[in-house]
Amino acid sequence: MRDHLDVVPDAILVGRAADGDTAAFEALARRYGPHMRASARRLTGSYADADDAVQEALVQAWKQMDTLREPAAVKGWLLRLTGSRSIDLLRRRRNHSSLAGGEEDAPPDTVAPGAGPETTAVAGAGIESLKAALETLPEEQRRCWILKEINGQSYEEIAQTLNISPASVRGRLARARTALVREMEDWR
Amino acid sequence: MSMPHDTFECGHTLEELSLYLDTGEFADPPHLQSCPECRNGLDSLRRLSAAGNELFASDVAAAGSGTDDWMKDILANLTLELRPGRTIPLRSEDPADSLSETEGAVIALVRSVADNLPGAVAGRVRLDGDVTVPGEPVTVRLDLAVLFGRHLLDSAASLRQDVADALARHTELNIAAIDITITDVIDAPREEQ
Amino acid sequence: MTTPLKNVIMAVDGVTEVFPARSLWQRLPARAMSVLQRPGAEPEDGELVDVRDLDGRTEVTVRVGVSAAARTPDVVRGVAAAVRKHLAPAEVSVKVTVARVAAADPVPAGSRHG
Repeated sequence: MRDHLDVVPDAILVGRAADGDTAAFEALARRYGPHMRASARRLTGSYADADDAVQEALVQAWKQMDTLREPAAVKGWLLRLTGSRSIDLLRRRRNHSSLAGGEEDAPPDTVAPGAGPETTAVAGAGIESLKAALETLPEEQRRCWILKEINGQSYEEIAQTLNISPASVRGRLARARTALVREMEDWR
Repeated sequence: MSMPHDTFECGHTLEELSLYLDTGEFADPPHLQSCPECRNGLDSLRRLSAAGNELFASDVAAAGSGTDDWMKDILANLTLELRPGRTIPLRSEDPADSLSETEGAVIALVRSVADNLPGAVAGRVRLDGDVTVPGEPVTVRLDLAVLFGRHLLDSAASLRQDVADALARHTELNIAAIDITITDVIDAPREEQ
Repeated sequence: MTTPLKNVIMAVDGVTEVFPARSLWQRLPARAMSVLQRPGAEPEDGELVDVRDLDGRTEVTVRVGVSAAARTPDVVRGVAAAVRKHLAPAEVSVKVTVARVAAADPVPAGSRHG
């Protein structure tokens, strides 16, 4: 049955990975990799950065696999790690560009997290206007929104990821939604 | 950061409605039924949420499959530290020598014996007891997932024997018991969502 | 010196692999690990077997993989004896660790008997 790891429940794979089974860990990575990559790309703005963030998240996950209290909750955990590593990557980039005297005011992800011709064919008008609206959000609000809606993280978890208070998360998320609703309604 | 003008004529805000959607908390719940502005606001937020779900689905589809090259590259670059675990001593013929096997090797052995049982996949394996001291009683605890429809009760006994044989062949542990727990029944191939 | 010793160890019945002796192997990328485990592939650094002199005594450290069809305790004692014999008459202490028992991989039928 070892060849069938891809049909095995998360908790079993987590147990094996915690025991040192790299094949089980890779099965988990394949299972949740697309979601992690989608989230990281929305946060960082490019697949190149997203793949770096996913890789860092997986390294951390391997090291800390035996600290996972609820093995069945591995998906949310991997997404939280992905969110944190993506934010770290953006911070490093920003520090680097301001040290280099670069454009401090420009968001590091000017690659336009919204743009992406590959989705246009299947995307409805809702998606297109949402993508455009997301681009107009202040960076901190956009991060909150992505961590909430794409990663499914709680206010507390987002607060930890962004190193701000849960109350700030609540405020930013609400402002993000308010702005998005208005942008999308203007779009129509 | 400028506040959008999001206060309705009734005095409530889109921010309050946003929180209500996430937490169910609202100071005056009946108001939400009767106030057209608040109901419009909730509708807008729900449309946003639906668009968010669509965006999420399209992003995940665009990210590709976990079996694509991008994931293969990531996995190829991963540096996964091996987990040797505790050091399990083996008797030596010369007192100057120090012979042992790693707990990780023994756990992987037990796992592979269980994987060899048709319809079964090993989960976590634990060696309970002080494996670093010769002769100490050790209990093997093995979690198992089984394919639905297999007659596992019959095979559990033979699996226990196979594990015992493998441990007798490859270790000098004093195995007191082998506990097998079926933690999952797999009924069909699954994929994310 | 270490390469012949590696051959001596590989010649012990039941030994399937010799892993780098020191901490290097613990941090190898998974892919490099599988390359190492592929029969015939040689790692570049040649530090598979660690041999050092301590006050006139030769200390040999080795990590091996053992065939599922073999008996691990017998194999490691065989490794220790083979190393001692190879280095005789030097006074030797041998440290052998089994890092992998290649269990139940479809070993070619009849290729090895315990």
